[in-house]
Parts: sequence; structure tokens; C-alpha cells
Amino acid sequence: MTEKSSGGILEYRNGLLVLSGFSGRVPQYFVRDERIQAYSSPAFRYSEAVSELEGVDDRVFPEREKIELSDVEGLRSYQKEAVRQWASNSSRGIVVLPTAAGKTHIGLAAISRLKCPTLVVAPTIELVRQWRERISMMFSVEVGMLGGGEKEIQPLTVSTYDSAYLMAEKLGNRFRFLLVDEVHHLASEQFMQIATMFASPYRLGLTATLERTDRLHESLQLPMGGKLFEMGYEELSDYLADYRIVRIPVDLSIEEQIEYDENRRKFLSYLRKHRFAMRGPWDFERFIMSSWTPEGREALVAWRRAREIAFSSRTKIENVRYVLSRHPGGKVLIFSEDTDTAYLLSREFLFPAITYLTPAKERKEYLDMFRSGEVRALSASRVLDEGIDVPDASVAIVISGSGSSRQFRQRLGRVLRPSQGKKSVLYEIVAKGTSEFRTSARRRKGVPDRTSVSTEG
Amino acid sequence: MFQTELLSVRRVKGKVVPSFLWPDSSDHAAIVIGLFQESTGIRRSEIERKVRNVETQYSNHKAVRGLAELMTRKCYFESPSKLDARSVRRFLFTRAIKTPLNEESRKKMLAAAAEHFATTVEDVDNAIYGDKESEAILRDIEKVKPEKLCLEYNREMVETILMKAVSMSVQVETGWRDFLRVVKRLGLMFSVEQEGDGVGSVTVDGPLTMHQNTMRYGERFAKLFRHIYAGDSWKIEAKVRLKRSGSSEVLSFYLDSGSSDLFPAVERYSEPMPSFQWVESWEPQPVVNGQKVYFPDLSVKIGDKTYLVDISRPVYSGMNSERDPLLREKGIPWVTVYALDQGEKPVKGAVNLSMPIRWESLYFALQREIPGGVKHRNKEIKNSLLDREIPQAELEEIRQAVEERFPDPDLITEYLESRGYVPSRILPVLGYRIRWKGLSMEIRKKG
Repeated sequence: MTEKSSGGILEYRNGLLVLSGFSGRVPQYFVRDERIQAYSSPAFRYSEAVSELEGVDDRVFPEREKIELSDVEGLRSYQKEAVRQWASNSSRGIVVLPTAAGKTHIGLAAISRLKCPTLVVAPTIELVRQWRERISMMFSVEVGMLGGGEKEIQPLTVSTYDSAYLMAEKLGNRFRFLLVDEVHHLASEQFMQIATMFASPYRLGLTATLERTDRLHESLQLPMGGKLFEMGYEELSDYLADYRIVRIPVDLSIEEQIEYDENRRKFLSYLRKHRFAMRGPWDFERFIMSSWTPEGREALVAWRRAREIAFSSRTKIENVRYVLSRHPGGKVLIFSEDTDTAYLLSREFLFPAITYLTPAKERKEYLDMFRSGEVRALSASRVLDEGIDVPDASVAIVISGSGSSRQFRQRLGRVLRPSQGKKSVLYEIVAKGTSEFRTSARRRKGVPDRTSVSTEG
Repeated sequence: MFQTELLSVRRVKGKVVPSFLWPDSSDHAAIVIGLFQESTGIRRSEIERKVRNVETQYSNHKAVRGLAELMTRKCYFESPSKLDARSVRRFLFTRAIKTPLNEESRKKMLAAAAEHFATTVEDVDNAIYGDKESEAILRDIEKVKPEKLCLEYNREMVETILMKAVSMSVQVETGWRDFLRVVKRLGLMFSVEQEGDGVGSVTVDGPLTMHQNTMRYGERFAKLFRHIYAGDSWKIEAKVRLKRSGSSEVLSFYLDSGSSDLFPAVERYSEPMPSFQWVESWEPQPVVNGQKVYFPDLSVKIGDKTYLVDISRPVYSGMNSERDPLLREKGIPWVTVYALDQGEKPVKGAVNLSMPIRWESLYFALQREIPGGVKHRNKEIKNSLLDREIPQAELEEIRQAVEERFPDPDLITEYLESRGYVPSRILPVLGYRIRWKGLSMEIRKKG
């Protein structure tokens, strides 16, 4: 027999649900907090709490606000199915689709369906701006924005992860719908607080690459609702631009090779001496932690130098020149792992570089110039791996990258937005005789094999 | 605070012990200072390369890097070119729509830019990313002695440790009030442990701490350190979360005033509070009730009665609603006022004011809200305030000062606010009226 409950107030305070004056069985996710003489629970439990706390005076959200929004038309069949499955799961859950498969369209359809105050969270300022433009165009409404120096709140607001994290205490009960783009980032310890400190009963996560090597994506199940829809590149080939991957193996110059080998030797002999095996990120972290001795430090410096040589070898730059000459009219995105290479290319070929150091205004300016065709190439470090939307970009050059198949898929996705008769190509320039060769093989495992090896480079 | 990677500590039996630099025995600081002094006129990226070389020669490379970080903050860097880098980039990028694929066409474009900006090709080349930090040239350095640099390093190290803290317990002998004001302003929570008739220690954490060992409040704990060690006698015990091989462990961190000499001298922060006739004290005595100690923020005189005012935050409303009646039952004239952040919901049935609190508003609010207090209409309050609170001589002095500054609204406002008055309230009484044009204020004489 359930205990009869009565009264009590449920409020939102600083990322928590605070329950006071309630006489009845308090759900176990509430904890008695003596500092405030009340029960509290992380805010994401709101939906459960209101259904379990019978008779409670629910003051968590302001008055129910209904926003007039038009319906979203033109969804492809798989997009409709994704929205249907999400809606029938109490409007909670994660949708996994390859880049360029129209995740934003699914998000817009979800916003239109709920017609309630919504916060869209995305990892980079470019993506946040892109969401703002898309929402504004679709629904003809003013869209608020948090991040990149802006702080304007509207019923429909977009935010960077950083701003949502910093402002979670204040904003956690303003938006009934929390839409998180590139939701795999949410699984980090810091950003998970966005998920837990917001009381939003409706949640949608979007990503092309949910799985993380640290398996933290599993922790999204509870606050976001778990994965409920997934499709891959092969199943969606009709909707994506045709593409091929060309691998260009290049030799280091003799001087570079000698310096590379010397540094690599120092690094490897340290690993052997101290019996380090490099099987994954944790092993590497262990190596970094051990590098406090002068010997370890020297090994770390040697590793960095070898990596620098492989990343920005002069012969790679010459191959970029070659690829650019093959696509004189195309829009080309060049990805590097480090910022130095992005700037080196920018100086050499006089096109913009976008890195984490580029001020927000200038990033926007360059992306606008790229979209309008005012500039035809952009070099970028990791900041453009995700999300930017330039439908007519058809050539990508990966000059350096990590071994992550997620990063490779995201980079490939940048040139897969479909447009009339488009055939995309991704060039991967890899230094022969370096560890980069194995790294490249590892990352390509994440996409269907359409690779050819160029012998011209 | 340093970046986490510069955290230099030992872990000993569940405790975290910082690796401090001892000012009289460490030669790291002198070497790093020397490196910077020899580097005027060279690029920042080059200085960083030199620092990396020095790092490899010392077992405590983190100390070298930390000291270099502190030195970098004392440097004055300048762009390698006087040209505006962004304009140069825009010029080049828009003209290079056909990407220059050989050195000759690149040089042509740089030459065109040099002509446009009336400078040399070399200057244009320097200017392309002349606004990047790594390109900047070191011009000057603030002078610092190695001993002082070591002390600064130690303080940063403690702050870096506290960045990783999930909770912190603090004891200070004096200066509780200012300390707790800062705690409240930072949005932290505290609970007091009593010792005899006074305060034993205060545990500081945040709202989420009950539910997770979060480091969300670490930066705020770190900000408290300078307030704590400014006192003569202090003690900190913190729970700190540090990573190790992919997982994290909670360690305890202890520090007390025996270590004060390891940090740069700092004056105790004491917030200057305005003087009002209705404020009896900005530092009333703590109130002890049974096992608990409470800290009123100020005591005020309303009518002929004195009240103790606690400026609290809405998160404490549950606790306060149980505490306040108990204190009043004991005859303690206790009033709780809630300071609200932007967009924060007011607490029902209480005095709520927006942050930052304007003290005049507090007075009016207390007049209205205190049980049995004087209830006035707004106009009466304004006049009664002036009649009662400002002696005629002072009123004349203000009138004259305003007249001298008339009609400049900025000068008048600045003067009145410096005296603790709200211009929109006192000006009508002095015979002026205010008109707003958009965001610009116009002050005119009445009549």
C-alpha cells in the first residue's frame, strides 16, 4: 500500500530540485540536505519527480509557455521515423546519423512538435550560429544566443556547451526542451552537468559518432534517454554526395627523415626501458605522467618533435599545392591536427586559417567568405571537424589527424552535403616511414572503404 | 591559477602535498628570470622554445614552466608590425581567390599589399599573423626578484590545488564577516561548526556537492585563498579530486598559517561599506543559538528598534524559513533579505532585492516589510528620509555641490552616488527634475 502524500513545494534552485514541506514517501533520488533543511535532487529528475510526488505544488518552471511555430515540412522517410520514435519515447533520446544526413532538420522538427521554450546546445560557435540561422529561417522568430560574446535569452535560444555549463544554475528551469547537438561531447565530466542541472523534461541528443573510446557515452542513458535511432553511411548513400578517398603517401625530405628517426628512437628506447606498451589513451597518459624525470621529459620532447615533423613536413605542403592545382574551381577544406600547420598553410597559400585562437567574429567572417565563394579554401585545425555546413565544399585534404575514426568520419562529412551532381573527394596526405601511416589505417576503419592510393604525390 | 598540467604535488597516504619552491634555496626562479631578461626583442614562440630547453635540464620541469608562466604575465609584448593584422589578412585573402601556387605569384600578392598599405613586403609578411600571441615580440619586463617569484609560484600552486577541490573547511581567527560575504557572493554554501561560544570552522561547498563530488566550485574555492591567508591565523582542510591513470581519487589537502611565509604578503580584503545613519553596524556580533552560530550582515535602526539583517540567497530559503521564527521566538530581532541574481525567482513572503544590492533600496524595503515597521507611500518615504536622515547643513552642502555640477548629469550622478544617495530620489527634493531621452539623462531645474 502506498503511503498517502500531501502538500509540499517542488522548486528549482541552482541546478537542483528542492522539495520542502512534503509529507509522504520521498523518492530515493532525493537526498536530505541539512544545509537547506530540505530534500534535493539533481534537476534532470524533474519528469520522474512530478509524476511520483503526488499533490506537490510544482513551481519548477514558470507558467507553461506555448510558442507559435510552423510545422517542419519535407522530412525524408528516415528523418520522419527518427522523430516518431523519439516522440513516442516521451520526447527523450539520442538519434545517431552520419554527418550530412540532416540531423538539424530532425532537431527543427522536434522543436516544432513541442512548441515550448527550447535551448539548443552545440560545441562550437560556428555550429551555434548555424543553428541560430536555421531556426530563425525556419520559424521566422528571434533566436537568443549564449556564447561568443552574446548573452541574449529568447524562448528559442542557442548556446555553446561552455555557456550552458556556466549558466546551468540560472537557466536550468527556463527551457522545457533541451536539444544537444554533437551529444557525445556531453558525456565528459564537466559537460554532463548541463544534462543533470537542467530540469528540461524533453531532451534530444544528435550525433554522428556516439561511441567514445572511454565508454563515457553510456552515462548519457539516464539523463538523455539513451540511443533510440541509428543509421549508417551505407544505408543512406542515396541521400549523401558520392565520394572517394585518395590516400597520398609522401616521403619526408632526407633531413626531416633523419631528425624524425632520431627523435622517434629516443622516444621508443625510453618506452622500452620503462616497459611501456602503447595500447590506448590511458597508456599514453601514463607515459605523460611519468615524464617528470629529465629522461622522461626528453622522451616527451622527442615524441613531440617527431610528431611535428610528420605533421608539417615540407613535402606535405608541396602535395597540398599539387592537390589545389587539380581543383582550381573547387571549394577546399584542409584539416590539420595542430594549429601551426593551419597557419603555415594560410601564410603559404594566402587563404584563411581557422583555429581555436581565431576570434569568433573573424571565424564567422571567414566562413561567410567561404560560403559565398569570396575565398575558395580554408585551413583549419580541429575546430572545424564538426558541423560546419558548406553544401558546395567538395574537396577535403587531411594533412594530419589523430587515429580517431570519429574525427575522420566528421571530417569526411564536411564534404558530403548533397548537391546536384556533386562528387566529393577526400585526400589524405600521410608521411611514409612514420607512425602516421598506422594512425591513418586506424582512423579509416570508421568509414566504408572507398580508398585509392595515389602514386602521383 | 595555473593550468592543471602544471600541478606539482606529491601524494602521501591519502594526502596531497604541494611541491613548493623555497625562496632561499631554489635556483629555478633566477634562471627563468634571466632567460626572460635576455629575450627582449625576440618572438614569444622563440621564448617558449627556450623555456622548453631549460625544462629538460631540471627534474622539476613543472616549476620551470610555472615560473615562466608567471614571468610571461609580467612581460610587455608588441606586434612585429604596426599594420592592422586583420586588415592585411582581409586584403590578401580576398585578392588570393585564385590561390597562389608558386612563390612568384605569392610575392606578387604580398607586393600588392605592401603598396596598398604603403610599407615593405617584409612588413606585410610579418603582419599577416602579427596579432597572434606567439608572433609578438618581447619589449619590456616588470622587475621581480627570484624570492618574490617563488612566493607567487607557491600561491598559484595552492590555488591550482583548490581548483580541484570538492569542499573546503576553513578556520580564520578574525575577519569572518568579509570572508563569508565573499563566500555568499560567489554562490557557495557554508555551514558553521561551533567551538565554545564562537565559530570553530566553516565548511564551504556548493549546492550540487550533496549529489556529486563535483569540481564545479573549485575555481571559487581558489578565489577564497587570498582572503584566507591574509589573516594572522588560519587553517584550510580541503577534499581534492585528482586524476590518476584514467580514474580519480579524493585526497585531503591541509595548510595553515605556519606556511604564510611561503606566499606573497597580501593585505586583508575588507569591503568598504557606505556610511548611513540608519546602519548601526556593518559588523554586528554573531548570534549563537543552541548549537548554531549565525552571522548577520548588518544591524539597522528602523524607527526606535534595532534589527539584525541577514542577506541570504534563495537556495537557503528552506533553512531560513525554519531558522528565522526560532530566532524571533528567542527575542532576536532577525530579518532575512534575499539577494537575487538576474532572472532568479524571488522568495515568497520575504524581502527580495536584486544584486548588486543598493543599500537605500534595502532601507525602503525594510521600512515597508518589517512587522510593525512604518508603512509609507513612496512619496512620503522620500521626504521623510530627507527630513529625518539628512541634517539641514548636509542637505545644503549637497544642494551647493549639485548646483556647482549642474547641468552635467554624469558629474551630478557621480557625486550623489559617492555620497550614498540615489540621484532619482534626492534630486526632486533638491528642486531638480530628471528627464530620460533613451538612455541619456537630462537634469533640469523645476519651475
